[in-house]
Amino acid sequence: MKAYILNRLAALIPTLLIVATVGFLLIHLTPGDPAAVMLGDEADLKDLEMLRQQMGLDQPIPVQLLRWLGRLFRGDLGYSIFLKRPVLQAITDRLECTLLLTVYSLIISVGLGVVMGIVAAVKHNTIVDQIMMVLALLGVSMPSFWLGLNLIWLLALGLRWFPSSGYVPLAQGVVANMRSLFLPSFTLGFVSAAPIARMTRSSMLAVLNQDYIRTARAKGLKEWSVILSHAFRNALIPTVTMIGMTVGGLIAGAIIVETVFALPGVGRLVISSISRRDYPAIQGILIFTASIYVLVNLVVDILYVYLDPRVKYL
Amino acid sequence: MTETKSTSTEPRNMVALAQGINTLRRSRMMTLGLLLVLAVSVLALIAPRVAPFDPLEVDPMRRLQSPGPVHRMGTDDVGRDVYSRVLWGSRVSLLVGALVVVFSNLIGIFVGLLSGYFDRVDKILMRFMDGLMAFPTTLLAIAMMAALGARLSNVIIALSVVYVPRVARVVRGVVLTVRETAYVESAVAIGAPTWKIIFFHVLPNCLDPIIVQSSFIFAQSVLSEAALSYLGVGIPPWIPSWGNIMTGGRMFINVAPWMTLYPGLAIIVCVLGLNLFGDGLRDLVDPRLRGVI
Repeated sequence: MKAYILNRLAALIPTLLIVATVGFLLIHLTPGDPAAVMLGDEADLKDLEMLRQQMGLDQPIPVQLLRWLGRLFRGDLGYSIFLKRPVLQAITDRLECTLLLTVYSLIISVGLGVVMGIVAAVKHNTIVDQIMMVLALLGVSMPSFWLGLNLIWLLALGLRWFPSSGYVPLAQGVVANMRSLFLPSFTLGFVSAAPIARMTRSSMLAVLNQDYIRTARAKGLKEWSVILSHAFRNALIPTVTMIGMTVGGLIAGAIIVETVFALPGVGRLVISSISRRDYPAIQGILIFTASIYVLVNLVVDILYVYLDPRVKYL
Repeated sequence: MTETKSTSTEPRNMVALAQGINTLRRSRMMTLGLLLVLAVSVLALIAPRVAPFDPLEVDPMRRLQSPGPVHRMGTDDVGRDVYSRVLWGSRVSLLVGALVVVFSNLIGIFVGLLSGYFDRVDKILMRFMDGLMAFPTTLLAIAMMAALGARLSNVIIALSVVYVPRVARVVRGVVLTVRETAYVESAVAIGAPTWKIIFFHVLPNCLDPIIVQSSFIFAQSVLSEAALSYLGVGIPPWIPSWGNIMTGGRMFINVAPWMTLYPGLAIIVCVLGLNLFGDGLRDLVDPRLRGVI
């Protein structure tokens, strides 16, 4: 177990190096001089030269890459001239909203997905099963922003149950915070629930056919106890993998949902940085988010070994 | 299935029967999916003939009209016919989906074959693919669009790059198993050139999972194109793609919900069709993958 974790941690280094390199190369995909694009047509030559120097664009590319990696290693994600502050600080300023949105969405998607999956498996081949699976398929087939816009129209503008946009920080009250994030979280949670629901259903179906389930029933256990403590616990492992994969979708989905609901999060920062052509900010957020994603997947993999002692990757 | 009356085989018969019914039900869904995809494709092909209005024709006199006999899906904020725009939009979305499938497969298959068959390049190529997979897909596409600029061709490039590692992984996985089989070994033994082995013995085995995966990549690309356009980093706003029509409607959601409702429904029909079709295909090709998206 320990050796496995250490191995995985060591494998993290090349992955993060590639992530950083891809993030670095991205800016050089830009047609023309990034500094000129950032400052626009009316920039004077002196400013341009200064920005080029500040961003290190006057150096050969290998030197730039090494410097970039060195800075990242020290936790420096760069400086945004538009926000007039370090990129890392700009991210942490907006992190609360995105983090809570992701966490709430994860809770909703796991809750919905697991319940739908268990119900569908228990009611296998009935109309309930079919409704659950059609709902799940609809979830993966609809654009999240479309669902978000329609929820705004229906529940915020029509019925006035929820605010249509805006964010209440956690410091101003947990309930108000949850209320302001309910529609965005539900939007994101619903579209991410489908894979979890389908995975839970199929692994439950596989487990429900096992002998020990028949034994549990035969010895007179209550049906819910059979389903939850005997079947679901064993069906959990593939579901956990699916949840790990969902987190990546949530991180990316947050960008879209934050835009729909005008939330002041990291995702909105990416989009506004793009319209300002603030390359250091875009790069910084890209690296930051991808690193989080890589770490989350690592945690999920370790959890996987912990949940299923039969799995040994040594 | 033979009809045995003996009680000992009855449960097995029941299971087989249930599986048969299940497959039938599944393939019925697959047929439905195929029909939906075909319907959308036909509409996209004949859009110029069946669209009642010019999708770009602005008419301020008819702005924000609700759906009615003349404008089946209403008009938008500058009086363009939403129905005609949705019809034309299907062409853009399907074009993006189809080209992303082609390009991501071309590169992905190449990388997958190389890294599965040649151990020397495997480590480097797969590390790079893992690096690409380390980014959440939409985020990588957004970042690439930011660097490349909002153009139709760039949307196709960005989405193709995003899906290359997925194709490469699947192909590599198949190659690793096929390469150990007796028929590849005998082909090597009789001195067949490597490229012949790869193209005639290894590649055909990869086709099933590639086709299944393609339907999902197609579906994801249609969704991603809409998302990129919605975020303003996708197809330029003057091209009527489904995503762009909805972007235009978001400011008017309270007065003209039809501007977002109908293009969204079009996406759902198209993507649902692709997903149903892909599910059915996957069950036919490899039932073990059932339930795994």
